[in-house]
Amino acid sequence: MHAAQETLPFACSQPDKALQLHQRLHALTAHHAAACAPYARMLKALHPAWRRAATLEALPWLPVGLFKRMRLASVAADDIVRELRSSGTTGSTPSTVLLDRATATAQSRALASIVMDFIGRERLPMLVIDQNDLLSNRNALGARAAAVLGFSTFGRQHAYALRPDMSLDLTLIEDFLARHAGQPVLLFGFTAVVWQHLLDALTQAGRTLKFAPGSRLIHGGGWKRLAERQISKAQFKARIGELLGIHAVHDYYGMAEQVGSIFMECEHGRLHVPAYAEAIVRNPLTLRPLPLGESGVIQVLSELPASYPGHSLLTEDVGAILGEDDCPCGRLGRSLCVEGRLPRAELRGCSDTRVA
Amino acid sequence: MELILPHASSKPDAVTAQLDRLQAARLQPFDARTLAFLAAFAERILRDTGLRSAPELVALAYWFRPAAIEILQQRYRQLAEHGLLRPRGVAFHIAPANVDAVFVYSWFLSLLCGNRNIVRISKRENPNRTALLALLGEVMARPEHADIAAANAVLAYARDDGITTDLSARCHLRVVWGGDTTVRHVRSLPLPPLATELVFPNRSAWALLDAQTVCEAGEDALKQAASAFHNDTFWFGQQACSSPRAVLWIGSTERVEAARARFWPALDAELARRGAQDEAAQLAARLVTAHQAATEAELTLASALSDWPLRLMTDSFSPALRAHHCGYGLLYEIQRDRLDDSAGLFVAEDQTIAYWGFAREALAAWVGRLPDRAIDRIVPLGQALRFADRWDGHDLLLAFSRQVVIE
Repeated sequence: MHAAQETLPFACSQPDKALQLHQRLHALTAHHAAACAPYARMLKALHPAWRRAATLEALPWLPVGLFKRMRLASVAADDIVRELRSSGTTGSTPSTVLLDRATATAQSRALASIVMDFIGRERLPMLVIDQNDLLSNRNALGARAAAVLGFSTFGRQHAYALRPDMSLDLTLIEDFLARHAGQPVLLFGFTAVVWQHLLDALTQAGRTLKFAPGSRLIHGGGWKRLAERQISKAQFKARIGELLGIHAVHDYYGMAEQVGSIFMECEHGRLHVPAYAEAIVRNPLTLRPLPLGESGVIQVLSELPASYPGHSLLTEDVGAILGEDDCPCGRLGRSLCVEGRLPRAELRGCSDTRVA
Repeated sequence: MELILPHASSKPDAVTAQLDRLQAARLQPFDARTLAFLAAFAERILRDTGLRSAPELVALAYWFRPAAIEILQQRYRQLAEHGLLRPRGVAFHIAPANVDAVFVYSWFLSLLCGNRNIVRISKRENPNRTALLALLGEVMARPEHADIAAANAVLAYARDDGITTDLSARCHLRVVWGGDTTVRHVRSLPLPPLATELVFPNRSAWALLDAQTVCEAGEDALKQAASAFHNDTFWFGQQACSSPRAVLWIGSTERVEAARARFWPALDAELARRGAQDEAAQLAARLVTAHQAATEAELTLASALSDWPLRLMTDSFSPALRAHHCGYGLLYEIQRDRLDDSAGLFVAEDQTIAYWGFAREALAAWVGRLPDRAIDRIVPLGQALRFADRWDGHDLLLAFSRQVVIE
């Protein structure tokens, strides 16, 4: 089932991709219906026409919030090797996603192919903008820890910029810069953590840092926190340039319920849907698919989830498809922008953890 | 702990002083001073055009306007014919956090019965509640209502067993409104031996529709019923204990089909007429609940997942369906051939039935077959949310009083 690792992530044009993906996802629906009894009941009651789904848009979906309420697995309990939890804010329930070895491997490979398409194959020294004890509990991984773990394979000689209390460890960063002087490095962190615990902390300390040309920052986890403070993407990037000297900045859109098939931002500011995944934007009240350019609620599809029925999810995020096969960066498939969350929905998202 | 009424203060001394003052205050049942205060309160809300957008506050003012109090007083006199009614003394009301006006009904009915009152409200604020408290403060501060101010204390504090225990020690009647968890927890905190307790835990509600009535109704009657159903089901986001969450259709399968085909389009038309709008976040909540429910019961989707209300046909309102219901316009539809076949659907938790198309005698006979504790209110469609002085099976005028026997 996992052809993901064999496919180049952005080489397939939209018409071909839609055709192939439809077949694979339809087969995945049948697989989950056979292997996950609760899922089969949901299909029967609420998506009775699922067998006749002739297009990607017609495939059945689950509301992403369901993973907060239920543990859904399409494999035997013995085959589950990892339990992934989204990090809800205090008081909100985290999602639980159950992974077997094959799904976890497929996720890692898909992630690698996507990230390498953006940053190249060479592993750069890597500075993680997060707590240095984040990975100490590996049994039940929070989404932030899981993302750091997943992305850390794209770097070497990792250093963590924050102490356990989230304070910035400037001595450590200076050390890191000195050790890799003149070499491009990779920075990774959660959007809200980067803003508050790196950028704000530098401003407070009256400091700037100078990373070598060619250095990159990858960040994700959502804009909710920054949007609340009226901070735009342009402001975020400008401040990164000003305080760190970094000009290659990639946001990504992803979620604990569909790890691996993330949508990464290119130099033209568009989030790119990889070959293993698709994004459909729907009217938030009628749920009908919307044409290019119109904002609505985002449905994400991914061929990676085989151990749990999460291959087609209706999110509570709002965004728009920006184009198909037409980004100046040359990547094929759909590109989109994510604008935020449905108003008044229960808070959900990685960046809402412990940041406040 | 903060004192909110009769005047706002966060000084511990002020709270204690008010609580001590309250012990010494004395009021009679339907005291002239109480009636004057309630009349002033109702008048104050009803002339405030800014509050028109808060229908629950307007309803509250209507409930305590002089003409309504007069009817209550007549009923109180009738009850008192069988024995002298006296106040219990100090009533301690623990208010729910989700429905703003409930604490006032409980408090004012108790006040009418002549009790002094301690009212605990949560620290969660919202604009309607803030407006209500400001207005209560304003009326209580008037010199002519000084005796009412002396006999009542509204306090806000975050959950704190120490404070709740201290306040309980001062009361003769504890009144707990809240979820099952709150009721269970407060019940574990001691009361003085002579004090008694009245609790209002989670309840649920149904709509009961006779298929034949729906099929035979004229256009106007159908439109009125749809409007009444809307008020019952959509106000308060379908979150109140007495908001119907299941619809029981009575009639043969074919007739119920025909009735549904008339009723739901009439409701859609009513929603359109009112310009009512679904919200994306509420749809998202319904979708999660519906998917979870599909794993817990045999369900059939009535039409589309994006429908508002989202209607799911099933065979019973099971504990799992009840527990996971999200409100926001989600209805389980159940069919039975005859009313007599339906008694087994109801459980102790069921409080309210809002009906259309049944005779009182038929309902009375049917109530006799219901399980223990099930169903305390059977009201015409459109009145599900109307507060009444008989609630959850208690006559509040009696519950807030004690009977003195003179033989």
